[in-house]
Amino acid sequence: MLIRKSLAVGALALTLPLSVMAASDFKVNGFSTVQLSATDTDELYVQTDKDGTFNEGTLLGLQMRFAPNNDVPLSFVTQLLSRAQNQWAVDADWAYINWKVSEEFNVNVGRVKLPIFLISEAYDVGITYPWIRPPEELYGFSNVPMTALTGLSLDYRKYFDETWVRGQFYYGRDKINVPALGTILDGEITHMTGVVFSTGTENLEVRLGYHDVGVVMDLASQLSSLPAAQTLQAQIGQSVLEATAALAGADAQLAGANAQINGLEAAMIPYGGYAGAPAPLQAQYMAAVNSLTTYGAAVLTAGNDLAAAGAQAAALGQVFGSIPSGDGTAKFKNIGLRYDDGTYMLISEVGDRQIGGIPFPDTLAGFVTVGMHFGKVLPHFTYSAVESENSNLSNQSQESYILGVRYDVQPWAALKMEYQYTELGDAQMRDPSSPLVTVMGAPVLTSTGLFNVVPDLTTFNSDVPDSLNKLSMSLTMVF
Amino acid sequence: MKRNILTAGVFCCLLAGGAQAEVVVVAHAKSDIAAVDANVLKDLFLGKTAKVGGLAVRAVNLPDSSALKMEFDEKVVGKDPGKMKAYWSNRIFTGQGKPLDQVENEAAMLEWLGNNKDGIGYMSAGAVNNKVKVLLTIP
Repeated sequence: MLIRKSLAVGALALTLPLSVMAASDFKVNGFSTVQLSATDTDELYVQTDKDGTFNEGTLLGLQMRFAPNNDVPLSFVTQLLSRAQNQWAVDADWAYINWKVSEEFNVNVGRVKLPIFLISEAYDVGITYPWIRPPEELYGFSNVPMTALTGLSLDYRKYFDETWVRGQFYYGRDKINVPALGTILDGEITHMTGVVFSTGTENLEVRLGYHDVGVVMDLASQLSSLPAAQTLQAQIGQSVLEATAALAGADAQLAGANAQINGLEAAMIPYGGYAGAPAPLQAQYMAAVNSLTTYGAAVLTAGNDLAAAGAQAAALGQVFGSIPSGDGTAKFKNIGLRYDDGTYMLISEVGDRQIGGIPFPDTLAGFVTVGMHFGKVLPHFTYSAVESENSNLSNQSQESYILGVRYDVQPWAALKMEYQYTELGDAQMRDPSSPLVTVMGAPVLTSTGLFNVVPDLTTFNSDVPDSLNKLSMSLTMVF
Repeated sequence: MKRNILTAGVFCCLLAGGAQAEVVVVAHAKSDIAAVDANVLKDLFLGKTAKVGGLAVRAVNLPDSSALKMEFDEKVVGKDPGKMKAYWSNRIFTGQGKPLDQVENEAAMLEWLGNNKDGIGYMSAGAVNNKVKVLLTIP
């Protein structure tokens, strides 16, 4: 749909009369990154595991800007983005009309990129920042699952002699995909509004942002339709069936033994009962009585199995039933700082996420990066962490230490290498009133960090390594 | 005395590689702009403004690979090619304004400025002809 839109912009350019084309202005710019990364774990972490992958950050972007006429302050802007992790499907990340109201003030209408954090708008353009990717704890999709919206954005920027100020506002709605609990959950953003204020000099930028999101998600049905949930439900269903069959079998055998005993008792009447009966008949009778005990025990066992399977099915239903669905809210507050004087570099940012109505954790995430330029080489160090709170379903607390170096091979190309050590956060106590605790008896929620793992769906806990090492390298370019 | 210093200066430049020609900032011969301040020029080539003395202008660049552009960026804007590229990448790919117009070489620059009365560009002093007028000489 969006691709079609951007193609339409291109087609529009082609069908314009030549006289208009002469005065018009069409510019194409692009960027690309090839990233190879590997961890030391079998579990998928973000996009990477022990086997290594090009999938995490490899991408190609093409940005086109078409201004039909120099006298009209309108431009059409599209950015087509193709990521390895999406099998190179082409996505129109931006597609908007820009109205340059004045030197200071711009209005964009269409699909606009969200200025959530310092680097959000340039998230895919590696040449503009030191790391291979901005710190995952704050910038990852698990923290902010939307990067662009259909709506409008306003951008006011004023330069003074040494300083500048900037104010941004946006409003939009869209569909979202939230990567959580090892799957992608679909939802709809009913509104998202944000205001950002930033100021600085040539070397410094300080930024404050506030973003408010309304979302609708049908989580229970999506979670219960997960393959893992289906398997679990099928297993429980199978147990119920097996226990029912076993109970029926044991019941039949018990009835058979009863009938046999009745028959034997009838046969013994002519002998005046058991005592007077011949020995073979007596033995037959004793065997039948013994089997009665065995079959009785089998009936009891089968009955217990059936009850257990039934309880499990009921509990699972209760667990899924307890997952809130419907309207949710998310509020993001963040503060960022970026300084680079050509020798020393410092970037730091903290973001607070508050969730309401849907069972995702509140998070507090942030990082600090320091670096020093040695000509074309920039070694840098980052500490980055995320703390999850107030959730019964997922705990993504973790902290990372990243040591990296960027080498500017050319003004338009940079080679980057990074080593990352990540440690998962502690387990947290669940809300005791949660059915997960009352039904399944799992008061503790372990941290899965940013591991991409499907939890055990009866406890929502999972077994992942408590730390990992990751190595990455990338070549990033603009053209 | 002054002449000696100039000679020494020129000699130095020649020794330093010979490519350090004098750069001049130029506009259409009949441009309404009389002169341009170095600070305004810097803002113009950083895309921070598109006006000189209240008049709308269009700044035009030489390609990144041009030695003259590198010299201009270094002297006027105060950024080396890497920083200039990073600055413009950030600007372009975050949607903050469009990239500047660009021409292939000095000959194309002369022609472009001859055709665009609102244009403003730069070239080596030796390339100037009657189609353009010099607004500023960068030593």
